[in-house]
Formats: sequence, C-alpha cells, structure tokens
Amino acid sequence: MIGATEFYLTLSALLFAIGAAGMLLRRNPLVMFMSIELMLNGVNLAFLTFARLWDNPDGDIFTFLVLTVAAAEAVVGLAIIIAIFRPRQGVDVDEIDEMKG
Amino acid sequence: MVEAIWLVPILPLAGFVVLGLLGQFLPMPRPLVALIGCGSVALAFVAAIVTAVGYSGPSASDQVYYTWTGLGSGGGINIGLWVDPLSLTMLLTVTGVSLLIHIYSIGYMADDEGFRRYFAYLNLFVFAMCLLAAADNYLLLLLGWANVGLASFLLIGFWFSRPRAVQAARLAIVVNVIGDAAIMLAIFLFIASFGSASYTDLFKVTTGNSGLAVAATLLLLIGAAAKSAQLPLYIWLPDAMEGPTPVSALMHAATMVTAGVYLMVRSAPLTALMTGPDAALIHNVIGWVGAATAIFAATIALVQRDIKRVLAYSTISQLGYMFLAVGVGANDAAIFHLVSHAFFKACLFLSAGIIIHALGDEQDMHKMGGLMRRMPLVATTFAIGTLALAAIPPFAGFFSKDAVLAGAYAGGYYALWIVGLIVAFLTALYMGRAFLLTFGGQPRSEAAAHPHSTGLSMAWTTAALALLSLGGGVIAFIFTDWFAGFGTVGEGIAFSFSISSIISLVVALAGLLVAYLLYGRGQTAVNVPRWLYNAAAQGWGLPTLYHEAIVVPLLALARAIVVFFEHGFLEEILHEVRTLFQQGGKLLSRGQSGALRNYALVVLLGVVVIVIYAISGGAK
Amino acid sequence: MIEAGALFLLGAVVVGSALGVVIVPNAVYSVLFLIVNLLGLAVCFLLLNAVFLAAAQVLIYAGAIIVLFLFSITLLSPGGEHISADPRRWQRNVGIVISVALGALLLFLIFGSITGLGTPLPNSGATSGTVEGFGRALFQQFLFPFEITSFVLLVALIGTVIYGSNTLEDIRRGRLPRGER
Repeated sequence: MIGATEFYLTLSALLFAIGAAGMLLRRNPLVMFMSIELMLNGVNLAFLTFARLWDNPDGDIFTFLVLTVAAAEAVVGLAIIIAIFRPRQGVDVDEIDEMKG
Repeated sequence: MVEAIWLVPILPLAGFVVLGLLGQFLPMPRPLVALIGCGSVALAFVAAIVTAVGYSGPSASDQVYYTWTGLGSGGGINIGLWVDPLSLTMLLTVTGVSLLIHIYSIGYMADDEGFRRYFAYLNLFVFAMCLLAAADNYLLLLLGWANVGLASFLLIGFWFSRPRAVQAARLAIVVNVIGDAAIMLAIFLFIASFGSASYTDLFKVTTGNSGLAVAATLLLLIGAAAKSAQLPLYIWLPDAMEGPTPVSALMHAATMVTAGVYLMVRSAPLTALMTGPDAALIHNVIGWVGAATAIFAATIALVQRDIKRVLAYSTISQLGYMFLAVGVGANDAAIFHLVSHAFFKACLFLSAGIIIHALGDEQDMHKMGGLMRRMPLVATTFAIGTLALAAIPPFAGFFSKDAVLAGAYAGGYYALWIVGLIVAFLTALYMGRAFLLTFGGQPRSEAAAHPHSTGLSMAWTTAALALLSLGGGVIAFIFTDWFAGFGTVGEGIAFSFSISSIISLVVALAGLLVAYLLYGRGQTAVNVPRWLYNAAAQGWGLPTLYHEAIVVPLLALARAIVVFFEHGFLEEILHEVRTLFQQGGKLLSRGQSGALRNYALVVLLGVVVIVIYAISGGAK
Repeated sequence: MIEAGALFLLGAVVVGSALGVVIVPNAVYSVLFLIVNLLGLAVCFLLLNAVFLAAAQVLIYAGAIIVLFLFSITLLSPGGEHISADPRRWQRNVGIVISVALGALLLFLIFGSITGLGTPLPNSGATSGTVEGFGRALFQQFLFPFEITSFVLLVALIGTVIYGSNTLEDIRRGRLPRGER
C-alpha cells in the first residue's frame, strides 16, 4: 500500500520529539533509555523514507547499521545502569550526582 | 703584520669562554686555569707586538671584518679594528701590564675559592679593553666600554659575600652607566647628523658643524669622566678598592680608568670641526675638569689611612693630569703619561698587595711601619714607584709629567700650569707620607713585626713593573715619531730642559722634603686644624652631598611609590581581579550540577539551536 | 478511502504507544508500550518496501532488546514515578518546552524545505528496497562500515562477558561479578 512522504516524516519527527520529552522528564533511567530507543527508531524511519524518496539504498544500509549499534549500546548501557543502581534503594537518576561542581 | 690585530681581543675572549663556560662543566685544576688565563693574555701580547712591528706608515689601517647595514639609508656599522699608533700603544700597554698582573694574581689568589672565576672575569676585561682601544667606530667602542664596566662590576664585587664589596660594585656600575648613556647620546648625534659613527667618516668632515662637535665632545667628556673617575663622577673609584688588589692594580689604575683619556684623545679630531671660540671653550672645560679633579683628589689622598685608598685617590689625581694634558692640546703627553702611570701605579698597587698579603690583610698604614728592614724587596719597588709618581728623574714619571706641564706652559694656559705644579707638590707629599708610614719607624702592630713571606710570582712581576717605571722614560726618546701621531697641538714631546721642567722638579723635591720632615722619624700624625683634616677626610663634603641630594630622595620616592601604588592601588586591583575570577568560576561551576537530566537538557537545547539554524537558511 | 483510514490508524498506534512509553508511571507498562511501538514501526517499514529491515526490526529490537529491558526492570525495581511528581520543576517545565519546540521545528523543517513532498511512497519502479539490492549495497559499497560494525559488536560482547564474569571462587564467596565491584 502507499502513503505520502510527509506522513512518514511527520511520524518520525513526532517519535523523535516524544523520545526527547521522555529523556528529559522521566527519572527512571530505564525509561530514559527506552526513550532513547524511541528517538533512534524515529531516525530509522526518516532514513528509510528518504531512501525511497531518492531511490538510494544508502538509507537502508544506514538504518541497518543504526539498528546493530543500538543493540550493542543497549547491552552495554543496561549493564552499566544495573551496576550503578543495584546497590541502591530506588531508581532515580537525580541521585547520582557525584560529578557535581 | 697588521692583520694579526684581530687576535688581540679574541684570545682573551676565548680564555674567558673556556674558563667561564667550559670550566663550569669540566673540572679544571688550578695550574690549568692559570695557564689558560695567563696564556691567553700572553699570546695576545705577542699578537700586539707582531701587529705593531708590522705597522708602517703614518696613516692608519682599518681592518674591517663585517659590515652591518641595519641603519637604512646611509652607512652601516662596521665590525673592524683600527691600527694606528694610538690604538697600538693602548693595546701593548693593556696586554703587557695585564700579563704581569695575571701572573702576580696566581700567587695572590692562590688560596681563594673563586680562582677560576677570577681569571675568567679578568680575561673578559682584557678582551673588552682591547676591543675598546682598537675599535674603528664609536659603536664598537661602546661595546667594549660597557663590557669593561661589567667586568669592573664583577671584579669589585668578587667577594660577594661582603656587603661593602657588593655596594661598591653597585655604585661603580651605576656611575659607569651614566657615562655609557652619555656616549650613546653622542653616537645618536653622530648617526643623525652624518649617518655614521666610524672614525673614518666622522673625521673626514672638516668644517661647518661646530655646534654638533661641541655637543658631542661634551657628551663624550661626560662618558670619559664617568669611566676615568673625574669630578663629579669620581665617587665610585675609592670604594672600588674593595676588590682584590690585583684588580685594583689592573683596572682601577693602569687600564680601565684610562679608557676615558683614550676616548678624549681619539676624539681630538672633532675639535677641528669647531670654530675658534668653541674650540677654546672645549679646551678649557676639559683642562679644568682635569685640574680640579687633580687637586681635589690630591688633598684627600693626604689624609687617608688605608694604603689602597691613598693609591686610589692618587689615580684619580693623575687621571686629572691626563685630562689636563688633553685640554691644553698635548695629546701625546697625555698618552705618554697614561703609559708611564700604568707602569708605576701598577707597581705601587702590586707592592701594596704584597704588603697586605704579608700582614694578613691589614690595610691601615697606622698599623704598619718598620717594614724597610723586614721586607726590603717590596720597600725597593714601592720606593721606585713613589719616586716615579713624584716625578723625580730619571724615573719615567718625571718625563711624562713634565711633558704635561710643559705643554700647559707652552700653550699659554698658565693657570692650569700653576694648578699642575701645586698638585705635583701634593703628590710628592702624600706619596712620601705613604712610604714613610708604611716602611719607616718602628712596627706599630704585631703583624707588621712579623710579616709573612712573599710568593715568587708576586715578587718578580712587581719587580718587572718597577724596572719599567725606572726605564720607561726612555720611551719618549726612542719613539718620538710614534707619539707624534696623536694629533698634538703644537710641538711634540721632543724633550728639552725648559724652565717648566726645572720648576716642577724643585716642587717635587720640596714635597718629598716636607714629607720627610713631617713623617720621617716615625710620627703618624701631623698638627693641622681638626676641621681641615676632617673636611679632607670626608672628601670635602661631596660624598655626603651625593647621598643627601640623590640617594635619600630616590629612596624616599621609591618608598612612596610602594606605599601609594603597590599597597594602595595595585593590590586593590589585583584583589578585585582575583575576586572576579573566583566568583566567575563559582558561577560557572553551578552549571555542573552532576544531574544527568540537566546535561541532556543542554544537549537537546543545542539540537534545537542547530535545527533553527538549518531552517533559517544555514550554510548554503 | 480505506487506505487513508488504515494509514491514519497506523500513525495513531505509533504515536500513541510512544506517548504511552513516556507517560505511564509503571516501567513495565512502558516496556509493553514500547513493544507495540516497535511492531507498528515494523509495519511502516513493510509499507516502505524495506522487507529485510522490517524483519530485522522485529527480530532484534522487539525480540532481543525488549527482553533485555524487561530483565533489567524486573531486576531493579518494577515500580516507577510520574512526571508530575518531579521535584525539579525547572527541569520539567523547560523540558516540556524544548520537546514541543523540537517537534514543531522539525515539522516546520519538513514542510518547509523538503522537495518531493506529496510523492507517494514507495516509488513505483524503485530499485532499492529489495533484499538483493540491500545485500549488494551492504557487501560492496558499505563493506567497511559493515566490518566495523561487526567489530563493535565484538567489543560489546567481550566487554559484557568480562563485566559479568564470575569465577567459581567469587560465587562461592558470594562476591559480585567483577564489573559490579
């Protein structure tokens, strides 16, 4: 089926903005991380849209690479988050402010 | 071979570099230091002889090695050496007397920690002095001139743990710099008017620049007065006696202080540029500066207890004689007196050094006495020096001093002639006094009763200088033509027994006689009014005047600046600046909240900015 | 007509689930919403004729990464907090403003300067999008990035292994794995 270009682009912009909102407003680090994933997905959608618009396979490849790297990043990032928050009570990003000043 | 002249300054320079720089890193045993130090000067002396022998013809030879064309349009500055009788005389005297004093120093400084440093500085001095004497333009001369001042500073303050020595060194360099500045102004005048500072260019212009010549000569006179300790810039020389005695002999008697006289004689052709009345003015100024200094210093020498200070004031007085000679136009007499004075004054200083060394660093003549029997050799050399200085024939001093006085008389400067005679009397008097106090009568202290023995090197070098003082007078007869090249006004030194010589001889003998009457039987004090004695001993109020009029106001000004600016003003500003930075830093550090979300906020803010930029056209 | 409606529905699902991720307090619910989002996106990919990528999305993202997230959440604390309870009021307000601004700006950018709007996608007669085309591009033009990416995965793998490594000794003594000490 078909849809117009701006449909997809609008979707990707909204995804990106919503992901940004989630990053800024939530204090749970895992939810923040998920918001990042949302942003990445929005970007992927945009890449694909343009790939089709300009009939260029580069966008496809890039999306694939983003996907892969996001996976690796998720692994390492989650490991770090667990390491930081396991000894603590409650999960609040605002508590880790040892870099203050 | 006149081309050998470049070796004369370069060899001591090499000695300085080796001793001063290499000696810091490589261990140098004392014999090696002595060898390098004295050897470089010895070789320089040989080079000077070779150059002199090779010099022929009345005209000078200009050995140019390099030309710096940095003056824009107009000439450049040469690095070259000038070979003519005047410069050769200076070079020979400097290297010759230097050599003897270097060898003497091996013995005198044998126990000193800074042996290597001493010889390094001495070599530096010899290099600078040779450069000064042989330069072919005023700028290069100034280079040597300033370095001679540096060497003086380093050597007067050689024992830098002594506060008095340090103060004396500081005084010397400050007064010297006044002279340096004056010479620099003269050079600026030359370059501005003629575009060059070299002798060849300047002395070619024959007329029409009277005002410039007068101004330049006066500036050069100020410079010469600073270096040669003439009134009113004499004040550093008596204090310079804080340095080691060989240094006093070399620099502050024989060579460095004579640089002023050399400068005046070298600049004599400038007088040819002056019109009549201006020329007479300059002559009188120079002559009277010399005469006033001579009599001033002679009176002070009469009341000194420290043997080195007697000799210091004597040097100032004799330099005054040389300036007097230049003033009356008897340039050859001035240089002749310079050379003979170098011989006998160095001899006197070295003898004094032997005495001081033997008496365990005692310099007060009132604590000496009775040394005639105990130190006969030194007594002889000192006596020879005294007689030469008092101008008794057949010693060298007689011929040279007589040449000066004869020149004054012949030139019609009768007032100067009379002053010269008075100074001759005083000279004989104070030197007689010095000799009798030191050697006559009975020993007045333990040290004098049992003096230590003298080193060999010290003994024979002093003896060599005594011989030169004895026979130096023959120079006048052998080398008359040589001395004629000094631009003398009127007749040369062809010696003749004129009325002036007879009178001066009588005057000198009278001085010695009075000295014997006053001090000959072991007396130490003379019946003069207390106020007169004190005034003379205080330098006729001049040092006090300098202190009150110059030093005290300057210190007060400095203190006022510190209080007003530093404590009041600058510290406030610095404080404010510091606070500014501190507060600024605190403000900025608030941005480091440590909270992750804030950082994310900032990042996204940046993204927004970039997007706005992209929308508004951005970089097309 | 039906197409338009279907597309609209798809869009609503995607945006709505995204909002759900961000808004709901409970972290587990956020994950579930994320799953919906990812699947919706996979449908979008299919509509754009990116078959391989749609499959990759479902497998990798909705499959592996979500599992990781669920594990982490259950490991830490299943509870959660809400936006309105944010003690940093300043951060919250500015954050909302910025996100809205960002969205608006992006839309402005899209509708303002992109040429070719209105073109229905996928283009008919397009050469990209086929698995064959994708494969060719990946292993010819983009071979180097491909290799680098595999390297990145290797590094992540090694890191995680070391991070979570526990010798028998440590386990017996009840120590935390090396990465967490």
